[in-house]
Amino acid sequence: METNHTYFVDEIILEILARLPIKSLIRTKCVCKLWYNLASHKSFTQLYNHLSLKNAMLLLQVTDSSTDSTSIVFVNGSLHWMTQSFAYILVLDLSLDSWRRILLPEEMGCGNGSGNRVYLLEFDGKLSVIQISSVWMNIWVLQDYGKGKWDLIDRVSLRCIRGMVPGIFPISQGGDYVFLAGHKQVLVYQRKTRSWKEMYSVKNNSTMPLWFSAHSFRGTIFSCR
Amino acid sequence: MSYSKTIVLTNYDGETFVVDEVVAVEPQTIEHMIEDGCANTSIPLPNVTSKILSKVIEHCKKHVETPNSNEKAAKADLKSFDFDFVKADQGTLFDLILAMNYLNIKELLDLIYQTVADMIKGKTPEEEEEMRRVNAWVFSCFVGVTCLYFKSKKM
Repeated sequence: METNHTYFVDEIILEILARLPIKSLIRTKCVCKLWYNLASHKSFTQLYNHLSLKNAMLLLQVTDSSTDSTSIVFVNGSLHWMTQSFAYILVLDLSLDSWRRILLPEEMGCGNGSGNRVYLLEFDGKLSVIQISSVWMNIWVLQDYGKGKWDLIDRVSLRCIRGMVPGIFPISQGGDYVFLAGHKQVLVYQRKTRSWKEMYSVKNNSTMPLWFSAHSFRGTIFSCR
Repeated sequence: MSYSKTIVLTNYDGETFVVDEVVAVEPQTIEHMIEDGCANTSIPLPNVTSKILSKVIEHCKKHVETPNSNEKAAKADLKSFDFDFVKADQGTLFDLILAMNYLNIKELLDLIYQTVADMIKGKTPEEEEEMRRVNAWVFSCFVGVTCLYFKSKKM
């Protein structure tokens, strides 16, 4: 190498190490004292967590059967359940140790007999409900937690996936996507392109309905000191 | 904006490169030099070899020429260009990092840092499938780490 006489400044090493997945990072830290020290510094932690924000990954879990189909959503230091009748959301505030209820969006016009299914999820740290009718999927977000103000953030046509609608339910969502699962497949809806894609499907003729869950995650490091 | 204005870059080997100003201001270092009026005759870039400089200019040109639109085809084209661009041998890649760091081209730096990181972790998402069968990633991982190690130390 003709430029063997030049060396990387620490800044370059830091930038490269900060782009490693966590497992590789921990392994690479053991290479030498310089790298260990660089990657143990507080400023490195900040850089790493900042960069990893841009690279959200997806964790998909497939199990044979469901043990618990009730979804609990944890936001704002409280646990949230959807009531069976879809009348309201039950809230347990963990810091005050008190129970209360949050009303669903009025415009949703649900309740028994409307034929709509309603699911409780999280969206960007906020409470969200997704309503699925035969042709539409409406996504609401609780913008103002204190006042109970819901906003309709997305209204998605289900025409493209018509045949699957009766069996699907949303499992996770983020700013760019919504994941839905049926008994044999996982679908992803991309908000920006307004397109659907099949992410995973069961190939063999399994008779057992499968249970899916999907979460977006990103690597974050903390110092234990 | 005058597109006809050209800038002369003189590199480490004394070779000169004539480039359009719109292309030359992609690297922040050169942009600042032009702003400060240090670019009347030619800009000396003593840290950059001609091989690397022509690669950098090629990259800047491509990114300037590609319209900054949301058009899918243009974006995909740029992506595949970048993908091929970093498919270089390790020596070139490390020289590129030094040049980029000096010239301060953030976008390209990001790309190359990620490429080296992928070498250390041993795989890119595209290769992952193949790597599972071929055990080559152990080797590539090892080479990536060792090369970076030697680059980080004065022996």
